[in-house]
Amino acid sequence: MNALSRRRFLQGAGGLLALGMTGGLTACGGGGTSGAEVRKTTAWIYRPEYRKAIDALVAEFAKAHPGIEVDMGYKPLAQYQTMLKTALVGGAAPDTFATNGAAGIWGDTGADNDYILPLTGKIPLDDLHPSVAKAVQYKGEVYGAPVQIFKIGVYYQKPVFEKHGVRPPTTWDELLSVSKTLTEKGVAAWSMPAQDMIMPYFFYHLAVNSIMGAGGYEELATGKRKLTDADLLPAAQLMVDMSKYFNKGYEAVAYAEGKALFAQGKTAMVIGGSSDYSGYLEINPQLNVGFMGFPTPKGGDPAALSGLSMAYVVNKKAARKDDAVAFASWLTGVEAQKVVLANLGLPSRKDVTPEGDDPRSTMMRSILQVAATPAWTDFPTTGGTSTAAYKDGAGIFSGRLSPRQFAQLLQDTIKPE
Amino acid sequence: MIRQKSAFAWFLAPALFLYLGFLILPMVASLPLSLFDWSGAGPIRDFLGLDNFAAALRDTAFLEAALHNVWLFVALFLFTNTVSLGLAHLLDRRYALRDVYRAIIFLPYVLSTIAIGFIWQLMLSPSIGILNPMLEAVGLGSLTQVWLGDPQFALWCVIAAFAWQWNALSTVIYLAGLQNVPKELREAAVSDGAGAWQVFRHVTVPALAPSFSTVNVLLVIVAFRAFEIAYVITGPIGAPDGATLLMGVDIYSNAFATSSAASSTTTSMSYAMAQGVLLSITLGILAFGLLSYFGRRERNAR
Repeated sequence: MNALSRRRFLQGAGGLLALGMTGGLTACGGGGTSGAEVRKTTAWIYRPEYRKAIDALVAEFAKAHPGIEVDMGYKPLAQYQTMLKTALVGGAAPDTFATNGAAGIWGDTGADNDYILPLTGKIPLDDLHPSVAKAVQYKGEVYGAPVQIFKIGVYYQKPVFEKHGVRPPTTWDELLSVSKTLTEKGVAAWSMPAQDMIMPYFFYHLAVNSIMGAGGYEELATGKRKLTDADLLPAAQLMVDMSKYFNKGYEAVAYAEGKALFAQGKTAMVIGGSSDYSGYLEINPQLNVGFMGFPTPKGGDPAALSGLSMAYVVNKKAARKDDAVAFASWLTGVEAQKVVLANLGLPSRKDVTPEGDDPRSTMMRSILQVAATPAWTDFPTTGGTSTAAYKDGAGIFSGRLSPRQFAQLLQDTIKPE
Repeated sequence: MIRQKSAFAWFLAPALFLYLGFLILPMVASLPLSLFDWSGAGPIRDFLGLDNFAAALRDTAFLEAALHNVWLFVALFLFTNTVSLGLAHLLDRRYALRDVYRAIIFLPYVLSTIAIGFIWQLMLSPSIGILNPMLEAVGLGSLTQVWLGDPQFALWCVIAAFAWQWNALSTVIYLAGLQNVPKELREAAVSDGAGAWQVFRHVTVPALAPSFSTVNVLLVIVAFRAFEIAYVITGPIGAPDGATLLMGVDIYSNAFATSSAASSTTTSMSYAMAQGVLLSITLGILAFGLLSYFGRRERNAR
């Protein structure tokens, strides 16, 4: 056994141990391609609940490319990274796979470890929203075919606001007073599931961006500003101050449960993304909600976060690279993006916009109109902030971390360009 | 005789092959990998020596998780050797519907551990849990709590879920042990004037020595490699704020990230492997120690 194969062997065996130790999660092989006459290409998606939309995309692709069959594997979100990592290390990953955000472009399942194929010249960058066009590029190459973008802001229950005579807040003071008013009237003001800290992270991110404004990301990325700067610390403090208006037992509530509480009308506000709206409607078709940017400290235009929600990348070891590239690049075309808009969320192309008067199109239009600032999760410089918050950030609610310590925790992961 | 041995070997081979290939081999292979810097994907980076082990021993989250596993073990040990043993004793008697009770007690062991996690999460959830409404319905509203959101209660709730599942197997093992205690021995003790407690203490307990060995050695393994139930009930960081974090969950999070929404660049498979090796060593020592202790007791009982 030569050194290289011994190393591969150890990697695979080690991965198996970690799976075995922790209770039998099964590594799932994606399967290779079948015979050449079939021209089947394999793909993975991380959300089984997107099945309707993805099936529609695959069917539309089949019409445009009758000679290629896309065999889509639907994997559970919670285990997706585990499965993908294990499959890549074991050489069993599919030809194309979806990335949950931009970390799949530059992270360790992406270009950094040479797992994915450059798609430069095959993705129409000029037709894409600029932030997304930037997010799929890394070290001078284009690596991802963006399927949809996200905008994350605040959803609120319109009837609840009307009933209690409050208006969507535009400043932090109003945010606090509206939350207080609703709480005093017996309404759970906020869904803030903090079991995995995903939603609190985005609350904090929105609060910081509301202080820094549109150019803030560049200053953070270049090291001109730090999350521990005195003018940014109030963002973490705001989260602590607001915690008394969060849903009961929020520290232990799971992400999906928190979103469901809002969809069922049990809470008045939630941090949510553009692709969440379809899920809310599935739970409660009668839902009547609005979407707003995050209030600013002293007034001004509330803004949402915008970034890459999902892209497809091509496995460098794909058995049928041409077919895999054809599928990935087709996803950024007008036809595919119309299917995305009709079934999934906000398309990555600028020229595909919602046109109907149905509630979904109306909501997507209203979301698009909200100003946006870049999401840190799109970039390797700031992407580590999310992991730090998810793993250790819960201390801000228990008192283990002060607002400054919480900000320091995230700042420590930022690698200025 | 030789043919019989050969048949045994053939029957044993598939299980042995799987055991070696999927447990022993990865375990051995993880040792060298734990000495390197490896995220779990891509190339293996620098040689770190014992740095991962030293970091694990300084990692307060991991040490607190280890303490939670100790609590889990202590609580299950007490529970098993009182409640499960008592239940086995009750189920050993003759009365109507005894087999139905036996089936009910054994049911949690048949359920998938993931399903058990969801059941307990649905009972105790701060927002949709049914325990608090039930307490209110029977006039015990003053006892309602934010069970999983309060660090004071959360770990005990997770332990209760483990106890509920573990009780099934331990009761059955004790019941099997009780059924093997010769009736004549008990009857002889009674005719000699021994009371119920004395019969239990001096006849039943010594005869149950093999069952004690099995149950308590298995218990060490269950308590220290606990993962699924805790992961489902309180998530990847042992909410609230690590109050319910167990070693298995911490190892998993370090190996594969706390969330699929997280960037995977900060995971460290080699660090998780070092933690796993430490856990395996601890488990080995505890299991071996308990086996020796109970083995001595078994020999004395004979």
